[in-house]
Amino acid sequence: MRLLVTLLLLWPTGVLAQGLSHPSHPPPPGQRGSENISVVAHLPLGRPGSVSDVEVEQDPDRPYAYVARRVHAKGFDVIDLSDPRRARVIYRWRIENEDLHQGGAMDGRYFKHDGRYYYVQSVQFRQGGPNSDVGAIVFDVTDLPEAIVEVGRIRQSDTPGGFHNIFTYKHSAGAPLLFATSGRHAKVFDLARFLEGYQTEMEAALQDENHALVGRVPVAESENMWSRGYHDFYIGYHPESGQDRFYGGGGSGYYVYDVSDLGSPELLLTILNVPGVSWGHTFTPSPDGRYAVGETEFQYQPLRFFDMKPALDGEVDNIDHAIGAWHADWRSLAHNHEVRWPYLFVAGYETGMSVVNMENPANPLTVAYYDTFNGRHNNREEAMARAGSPYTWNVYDGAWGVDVRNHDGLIVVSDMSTGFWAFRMDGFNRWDGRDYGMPNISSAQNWDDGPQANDE
Amino acid sequence: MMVPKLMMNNAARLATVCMVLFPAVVAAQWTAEKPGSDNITVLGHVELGPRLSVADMDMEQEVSRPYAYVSRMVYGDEGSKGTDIIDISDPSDPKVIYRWRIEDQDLHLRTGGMDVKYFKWKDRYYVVQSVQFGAGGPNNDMGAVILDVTGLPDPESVREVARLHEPDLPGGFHNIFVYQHSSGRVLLFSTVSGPFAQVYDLGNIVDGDMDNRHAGRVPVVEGASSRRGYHDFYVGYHLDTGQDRFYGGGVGGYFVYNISDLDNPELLVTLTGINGVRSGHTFTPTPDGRYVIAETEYRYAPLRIFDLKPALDGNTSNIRNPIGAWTADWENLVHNHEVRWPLVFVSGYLDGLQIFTMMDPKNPSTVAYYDTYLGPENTDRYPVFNGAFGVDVRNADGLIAISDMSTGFWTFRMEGFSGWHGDDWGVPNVSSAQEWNRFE
Repeated sequence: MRLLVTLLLLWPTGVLAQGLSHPSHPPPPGQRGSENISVVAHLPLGRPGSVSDVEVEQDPDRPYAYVARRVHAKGFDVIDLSDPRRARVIYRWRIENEDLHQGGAMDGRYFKHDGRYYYVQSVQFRQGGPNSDVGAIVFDVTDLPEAIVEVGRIRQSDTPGGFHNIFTYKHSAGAPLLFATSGRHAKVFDLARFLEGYQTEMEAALQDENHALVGRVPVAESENMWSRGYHDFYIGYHPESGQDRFYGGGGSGYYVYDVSDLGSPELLLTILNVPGVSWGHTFTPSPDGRYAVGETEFQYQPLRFFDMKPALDGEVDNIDHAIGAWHADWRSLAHNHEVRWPYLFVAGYETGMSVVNMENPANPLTVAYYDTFNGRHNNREEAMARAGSPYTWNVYDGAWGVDVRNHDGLIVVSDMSTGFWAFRMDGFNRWDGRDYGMPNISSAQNWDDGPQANDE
Repeated sequence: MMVPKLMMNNAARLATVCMVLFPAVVAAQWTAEKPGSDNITVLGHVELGPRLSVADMDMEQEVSRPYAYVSRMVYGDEGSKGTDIIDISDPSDPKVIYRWRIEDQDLHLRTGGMDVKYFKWKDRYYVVQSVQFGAGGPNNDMGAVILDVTGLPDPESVREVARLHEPDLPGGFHNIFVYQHSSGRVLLFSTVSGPFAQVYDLGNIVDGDMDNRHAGRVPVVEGASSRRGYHDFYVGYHLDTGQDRFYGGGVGGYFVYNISDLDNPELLVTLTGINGVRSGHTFTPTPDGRYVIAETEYRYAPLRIFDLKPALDGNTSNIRNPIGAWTADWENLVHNHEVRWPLVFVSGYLDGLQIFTMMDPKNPSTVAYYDTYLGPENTDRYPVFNGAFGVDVRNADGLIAISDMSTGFWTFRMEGFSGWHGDDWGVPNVSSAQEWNRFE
């Protein structure tokens, strides 16, 4: 014991505070992951570049994950995780006339309403092929593993091109909502109303495509805007204020709105004019809404950590600097992420999956990783040959999406080239914000009782 | 201290366990105990004044004129505004031999001295000190002061010969570059508060012909706002074409002009629409003009390396994708740089002097370093704006010099680098160092 104390004293705390570093790329054999990460399952799903985002259901008795498919296979795969070590694809839904459709499925989210479970698959089909006005397709997945049924398609013919990202949220007023990137807004659809519409006798084609559209969250105007719309967002309940808050990345940075009243979204703060951030991408707050993680989709850009307190306290309207940043590899780029305070789970494109401790947001530390991509980084020629796209330059491959199942801590990742992965991290067997002195707020919704119940 | 064998074994085991728990621990390469790589030798160091009071520097290239010039500013709370002249006849013992200061220091607002360059004209040597003084005090319209330094090391011989005022372009010159044009004229390129680089004929100025001080303007691309233009630039001769080429970083990105005819600058290449680059900063080509190193002045930004060939060959007019990048520490920011192909000498703010090779521009790699600044990040200014500000290399003998915002002036030698001439590397002998006698 004395020896341990001695060594811990000798071990410089500054070194300990550095956390783990990722290995070289590709990593040496057997060193794809840190020792505290176990691979539970891996399912290759198809050709490189054909996999996009991932979603895992949260109920213990519904062991299903959904992986969106694009380009070479347009739809989604349903993965049965009832025995995670024997994960298997149990259903592959594909858009009809696949070859005619240009684009594919992007983001996927599930929701529960009136005792039934639904999965919403966002799609982006370009004009020149069919269904360019379709943004999302809703499926009734209650009867998995036996069957899924397409319920309907959400169309927005005034803003064709589909929904790049979506988020399903149980609003404090009770409605299950779908937030979707569309045109210059995040459009908000009441999914209960959408489902009701499809329970009538009315022909789907005759329905008003906006019958479930209940709100639009704008992008606040600023000078020299990089874009006019959102790229991505997160919506979370803020227990302290009782507000439903929208955290959007797009425009020229990041925006936080109070969306308690969907008819009148109220801008709470902006994060603009941050050096290096001309456009916001993924943007996720901590459970208490004080800190936020911001991604900007450019090579060499780290994930930035912002402290929103000065703006939330009314001292400033805009936050213009990060208090911390994190990179797995500065030559690369991290993509989507999920916050389970104090952990941040990152789908880091070519760096694979990383877990970051953000307890001190000014000094975030890598605490675990697994390189799902396992290839050379920043190699444009190889990326072009593999995925056929130079988008995001040389770094657009590898881990796209990540999700975390709160009740048992299962981590799932969708990798653009290597498929579906499930992991466990030593010592992380579940997540409930209250265990960490935080509101129990994450992307996982309490579909039965609403967000207020999470803080009781 | 003796360690019992048993304890050593246990210690080794536990250390192994710790290494497993914290494998490949990341630690900065440069530490207080070992600030430099083994191939770097510190020759000399002289402190110059308070924290954040030192800006850019320049070093004369002739070994027979062993003088370095350091700009003095007030970026922190205190300091003085002007130029320090340092005698490096013994590089291991640099000595400040003259301090030029603007008069009425307290009345002059903002930073003061920023960039500094020397030049030679008609066998006399001069130094141009760029200055920036704020509105509300004197000399807000002054951009540079020119000193005759021919008589060094005699400090009494230094005399001020001219001041450049631009009443219509107040705010001073943030950066300058001195270039001997292929026409033989010695030109001063300066950043001004307008959408162009202002060019002066230094020969005319020191000859007293101020009416003919202006030699031209190099514009930024159309659409730029009237108050903003370039941040920094480099001008170099392009041997293949016989052109004088201007490489500027500023609003929107980076721009390359043929300025052989100063009355008609010809835009050759733009580098705009680069993701993560809204405004260019320092921008330096390789001696053959094919590759360029581009800095963007914000934390976390690496130096980006671009291949201009597709544009120079006429296959495209704009370049927007770097082929490589380099940084000393991605959490910080590197600043100015000097190219001596295949080496790039970098003043890396918090990371001090850094040297990388760009022999393979897609995979640049660090070859040497010395951290001139071991202090903390700023809490009262932009966090990473401290440490090594400017860097220069004396081609004749490979002497490396750094101006550090807080720790002063440093001289170094790097093992195996005892001078630079482009011919030795199969590239044109073109760098920021001018061959003043080439037209004589």
